[in-house]
Amino acid sequence: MTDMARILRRRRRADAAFAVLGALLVVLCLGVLAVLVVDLVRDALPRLGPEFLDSFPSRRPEQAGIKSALVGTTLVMLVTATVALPLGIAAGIYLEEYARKNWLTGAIEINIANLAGVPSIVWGLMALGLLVYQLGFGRNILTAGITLGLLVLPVVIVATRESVRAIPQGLREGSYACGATRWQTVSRLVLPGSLSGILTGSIIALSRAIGETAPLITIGALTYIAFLPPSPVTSAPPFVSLAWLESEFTVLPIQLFNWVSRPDPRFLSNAAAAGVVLLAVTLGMNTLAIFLRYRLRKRYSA
Amino acid sequence: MTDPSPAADVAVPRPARVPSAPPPARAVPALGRVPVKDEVRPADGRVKAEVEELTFAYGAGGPVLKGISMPIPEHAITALIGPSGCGKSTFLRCFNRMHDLYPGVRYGGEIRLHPDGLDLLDPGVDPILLRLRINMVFQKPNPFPKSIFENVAFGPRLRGLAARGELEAEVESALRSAALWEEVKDRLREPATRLSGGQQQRLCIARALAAHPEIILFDEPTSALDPLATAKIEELMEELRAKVTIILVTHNMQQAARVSDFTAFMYLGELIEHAPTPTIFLNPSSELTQQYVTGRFG
Repeated sequence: MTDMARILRRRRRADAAFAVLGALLVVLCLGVLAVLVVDLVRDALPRLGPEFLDSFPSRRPEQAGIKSALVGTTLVMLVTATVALPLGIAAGIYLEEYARKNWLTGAIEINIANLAGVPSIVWGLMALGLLVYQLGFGRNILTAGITLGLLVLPVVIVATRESVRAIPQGLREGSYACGATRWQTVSRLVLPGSLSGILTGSIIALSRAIGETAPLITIGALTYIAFLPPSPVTSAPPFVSLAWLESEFTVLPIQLFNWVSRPDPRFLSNAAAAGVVLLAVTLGMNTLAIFLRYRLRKRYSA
Repeated sequence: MTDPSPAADVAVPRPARVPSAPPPARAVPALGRVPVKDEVRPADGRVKAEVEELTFAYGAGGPVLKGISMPIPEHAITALIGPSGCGKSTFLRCFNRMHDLYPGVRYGGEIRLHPDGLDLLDPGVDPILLRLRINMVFQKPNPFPKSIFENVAFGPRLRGLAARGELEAEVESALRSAALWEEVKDRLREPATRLSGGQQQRLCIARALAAHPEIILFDEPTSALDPLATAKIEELMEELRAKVTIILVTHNMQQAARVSDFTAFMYLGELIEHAPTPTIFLNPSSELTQQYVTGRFG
């Protein structure tokens, strides 16, 4: 009896020790993050303001802004989403719902997992060789968007597959038992049910793409852009223009990188401010992901 | 598929028509197949389906069904009973070719669907068309994560029915037939997942009825339900018999005794005995059937 009590006491102690250790580590992680963010914001404060968002880069640090970079990032992300989401979601659904399970799909599966781990600079080299030199797409927004789209494609595919796989097989059988075709089952049950997971994964993938620098430098994004791409909306019919796709561009992380590498220390403040904006955009996208997941879960609660 | 909870098997309000068990015996006797007798054919001879030498195998494995032949009488409840692994669910899922969803399955023999004499297992028969005629209710209630209305409208919508009024009429009639209308008529827009387990299962029955099937396959429909919900489903099946032919797989012998008109006892992939339900339970021809229905094994 006393033996049992002693053993139990020891087990309880180990339990408590782990709880304390875990709490300490959490505080440590959050503390480091907080210090970094606070430091960044403090450096950024003198420059943060509406005119910083609305100014082109300049040789004079106090007049420089991120207007072209912000527009560039938005447009590149638009292309990235257009490339990665339809392809990735369709591929994920095909692999889960349609493809027969054999050695070929097994090989494809492994390769997708591998692609997700390919360093982004390699994607940049691929884009430079294939898109810029072979296909002659030019060093523009289209090429950048396609590059980042391919970069995050595996992430979207994996996210789609996981959320599609989470749909209970009983629901599929119920649908087939009513005489549904595969597409009817996918479009009426599988897609709505997995939408929250797919959207969350897609937004996380895009927020990874938004911070990518290396592949865009490789394909030749400019660091000094003092103009905006042509507007996608025009006053003459057909009122939309795709000319912006062929425009030269810069994006937030490249602008940031450029300012950091300047010898004039006053540019560091600009870099910090651009960093804060980038952080805010990413945070905003992740918040949107959480919000969407919450809304859709409520609507399609299983 | 999980095994049914023991509670669903024992805690039943109504007395069972099962004779008291003779002294326990350990050994299971050798298979003795009893030829199908004419008494399983209804007096008016109306047969909904005729199973002929049906065999079935999953992938590389050996046969799971080893030559089953039996008629399915029209507008009656045919119960399939037998111990776990005897192939009764596998047999049931041949009727709507549910196995086709998975790779590498092999059918043999034929199942003729009357009155047109269509062989369900003919590779030329589109399983999707087939499932419009033969619907299914599953062991675990599987309402779709949609509203109550949309669950029932699922089948009609698949067939292309879109007019609001027609859909509403279909949904109401199916819910009435499934004895669920009074409980849900004021909350058709609510998610189906908010219903209780028994209501969910009746919703699944309504969903099946809305497709106007000729046969409904019930795969252990009450094994996840409490005794009261079970009693409601059983009552419902007895009413539905007037409209559709029912094939019921059940793990619960007393349920077969209570609701079915004909009972088929299966063992290790073979049909051992098929007879009117009272005969199976009170006067079976096969010793194996006798031992199973009296609870000596299984």
